[in-house]
Amino acid sequence: MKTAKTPLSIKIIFWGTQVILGLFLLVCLAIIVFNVLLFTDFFGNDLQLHTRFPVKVNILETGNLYLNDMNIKVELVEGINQIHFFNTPLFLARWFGSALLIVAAVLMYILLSFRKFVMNVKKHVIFVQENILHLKNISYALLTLWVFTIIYVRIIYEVIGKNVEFEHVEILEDYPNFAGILMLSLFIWVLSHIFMTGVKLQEEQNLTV
Amino acid sequence: MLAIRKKSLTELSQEVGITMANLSILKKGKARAIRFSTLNAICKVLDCQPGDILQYERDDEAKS
Repeated sequence: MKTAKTPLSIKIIFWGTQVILGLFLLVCLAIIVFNVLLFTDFFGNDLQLHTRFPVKVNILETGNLYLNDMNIKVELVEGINQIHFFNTPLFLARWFGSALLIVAAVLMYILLSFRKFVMNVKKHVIFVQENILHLKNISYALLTLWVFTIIYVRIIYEVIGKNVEFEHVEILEDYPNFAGILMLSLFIWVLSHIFMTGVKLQEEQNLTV
Repeated sequence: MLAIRKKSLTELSQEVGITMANLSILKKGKARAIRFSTLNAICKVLDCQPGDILQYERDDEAKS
């Protein structure tokens, strides 16, 4: 029987996944080492933490835009924020470290499941129960990540956003909803159900003489 | 029919042009469907009618 050739796109996705997985493994090791150091009190309160601050803000800054010989008055209203602590209290650093560890673990699980799925596709093993399981696992992991992110953002607002004051920045009680992660999770879940039908059709095909 | 025509499964598979694995699926009654082309080829090789090689069994009989 002639075996079909693996398409170039699948090969590229497979090798891309391998590279990303390898790099992410290094990131995970760094995160684990960082957490070990945090929990063994290696840094004390001297750690200068620089982290994302996922809370919407109004930057109360007006400026001028020079375009087509016109002077247009503009105001900067929203920004992507990162927060830098000059001396991070240990409890806060540990909290950030733990959150990072959880996110890294979930992302690693997603990457590993995706790699197994792509490997199967590369070997032309497509409509099988194993692939449905991988897709469902990716979908549930993404959903977990979305729930965790929503809770994390809320906590960040309650703990930091409510209590921080800046001269030209107004913190809003409005957070990103990360709908993209939720949509991706739902899409993959629907895809797993399409694969279920595919498995049934494949079985029919295999048992047709 | 195989015994009547004094043919082995291997011979049948070679003459019909289907694999032994598929012939085995057919023989064990695990097949979900059979193509007309396959049926045609088997009948041609065994010189018989479809009714000579197919038999209807009720679902409950088949399970028991």
